Amino acid sequence: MAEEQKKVRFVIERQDGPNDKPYTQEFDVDYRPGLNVVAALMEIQKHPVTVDGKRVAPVTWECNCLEKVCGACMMVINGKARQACCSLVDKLDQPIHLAPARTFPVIRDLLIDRSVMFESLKRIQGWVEIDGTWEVKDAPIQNPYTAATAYEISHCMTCGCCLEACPNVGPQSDFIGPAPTVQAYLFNLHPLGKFDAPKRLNALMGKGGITSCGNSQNCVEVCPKNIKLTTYLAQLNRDVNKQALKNIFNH
Amino acid sequence: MEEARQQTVDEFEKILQMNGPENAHQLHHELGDIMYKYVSVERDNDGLAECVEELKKILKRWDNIGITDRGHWANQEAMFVRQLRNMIIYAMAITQSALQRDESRGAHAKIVLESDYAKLDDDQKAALQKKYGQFHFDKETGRGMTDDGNNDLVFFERNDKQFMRTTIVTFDKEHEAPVVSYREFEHSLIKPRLRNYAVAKKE
Amino acid sequence: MYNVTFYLRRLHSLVGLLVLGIVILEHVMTNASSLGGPEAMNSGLAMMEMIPKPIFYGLEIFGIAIPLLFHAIYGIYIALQANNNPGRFGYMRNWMFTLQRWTAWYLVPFLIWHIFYLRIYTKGICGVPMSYELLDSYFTNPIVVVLYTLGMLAALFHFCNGITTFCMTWGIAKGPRVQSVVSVLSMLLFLAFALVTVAFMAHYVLF
Repeated sequence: MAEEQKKVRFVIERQDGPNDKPYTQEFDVDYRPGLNVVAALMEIQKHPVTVDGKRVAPVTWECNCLEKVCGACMMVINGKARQACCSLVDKLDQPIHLAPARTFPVIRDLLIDRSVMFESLKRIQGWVEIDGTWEVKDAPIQNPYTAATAYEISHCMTCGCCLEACPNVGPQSDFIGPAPTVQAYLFNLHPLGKFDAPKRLNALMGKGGITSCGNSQNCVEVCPKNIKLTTYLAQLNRDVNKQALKNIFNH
Repeated sequence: MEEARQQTVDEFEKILQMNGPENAHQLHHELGDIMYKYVSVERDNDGLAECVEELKKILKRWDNIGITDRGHWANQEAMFVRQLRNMIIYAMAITQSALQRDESRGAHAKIVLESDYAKLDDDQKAALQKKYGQFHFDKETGRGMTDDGNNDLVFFERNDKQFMRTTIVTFDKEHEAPVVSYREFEHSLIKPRLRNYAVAKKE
Repeated sequence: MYNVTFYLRRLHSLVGLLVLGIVILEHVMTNASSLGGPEAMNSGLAMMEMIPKPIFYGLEIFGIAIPLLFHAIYGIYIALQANNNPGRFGYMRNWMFTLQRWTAWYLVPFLIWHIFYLRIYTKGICGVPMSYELLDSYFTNPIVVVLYTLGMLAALFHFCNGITTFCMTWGIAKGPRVQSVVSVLSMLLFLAFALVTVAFMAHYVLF
């Protein structure tokens, strides 16, 4: 068939550095079946020419696993925070708008700095204390239903979609965001981690902790791993409130 | 230490000056294509030799890369150009080692060509005949294929005597080519056996 | 002190639901009694007048003024913590979140006007007691009627949606289904309150 090669138009919000003004550039990419946003960005790297014929520096962006399991390629596509690697061109309205997730500091173009999330994970003690380096014969017994819940929450890949969608995360608030908060619950469910639950719950009582959540529930709508964030936030609210009472009466 | 740092800085600055016609990502794509074509799990010496020549050309083309991003801030293109050169050299090391390894071992399954068969000794030929039965060599590719109608490929057997050694590759800067040598390793305590997960291992 | 933010936020939540909830319920009931005519409303108001003055003032200060000031001022701080984005994320709950804050912003100037004019000036300084006739004459100005209707609806929405978020904040309703049920029930309650409000406002205007 002598069909014209279809082109896909990308409108990309770019920025040369953290303190530079954003600007838009448009690129056309050859369509092929199954094309996703990451593959399109790779094509732009091979031929970094705008629709006006201007030869420009290729778009800076991040990607890793290509299978929606690492979270590196999170960006705002047509207004929604999502992973670029599994955003299929066929399913998106064209022209496709790409922008960085501005709730995080922008390093350049679509590249953002999410280290704040990892700092938050440290704040909520997002790990299990291990006794020592000696051999432990048998693992502690775990409730299989609890384990299923923990498995669901363990899918979190720290992509930052929920922080981008949350109206309470940003320069106007200290909120650490839904992801690190729910991760505290993950470690509270662990048979050994649960011994440090008071520490984690107290951390969530601090500045930017769970009280900064205003219940907009955007997070659960955008989570690419379908983690029931609002359910676990409600459970954590319960647990934190109980811990607060304990703090008062045990003081 | 300072000298080493300066060397790296100079290398990076040189990359920032590159302004040829080639695009690094396009070249990378072509590198991937030829490696996929000639150096997949099942490979033969004709393909590998062809690949060695192609890789030499690609390495020359690296010098003709032109970059569009000349900034010093988060310059992914320049980083990639630097890494690409090493990728090409590693590809050459892999291909050359595969070419010289006339046996099958693990993910390296070498197909017997008519030209290879002629160079085998009688014991090796007998072993192949015993394993595959009757086979012929394809008119076009020269690859050994069984006569039983399935046209299964004939692969080299594992050759511990000659090739159960660690491959060492050094890079000859003058000729811009990899040089392969082998090093013995200690294996007196464990007898090598076929990796066959279908049967229980006999101690 | 330890974890001040946490305790203040929880207090804000409790005060809003329990204390200010009673205030708003009282307002709805007293105003609804106007539907029964002047005698019904004035007799209800007379009952309130019978409460000994010190207790009444105590209730007004500790039951309304202080809780309201705390809830409003801390509420402004909470509202400033949000970068509302219902345009980008048009989910229902996000719209409710945004409306909760928009109604709050409306209520700040509205309540300042309402309390200053009716309680501090009319009743406090001028000494005019509350009565059916006073309110009836007050609600002849159409601008006042509209602003007051909006004010009531805003407060009622803010309260009813507050019930839903209270259940989330205190972990009373945990799963998505029970949260939906709570949300629907609280909106039905809002609808009921809203109808009553529209009814008595219309009654003030028409009679």
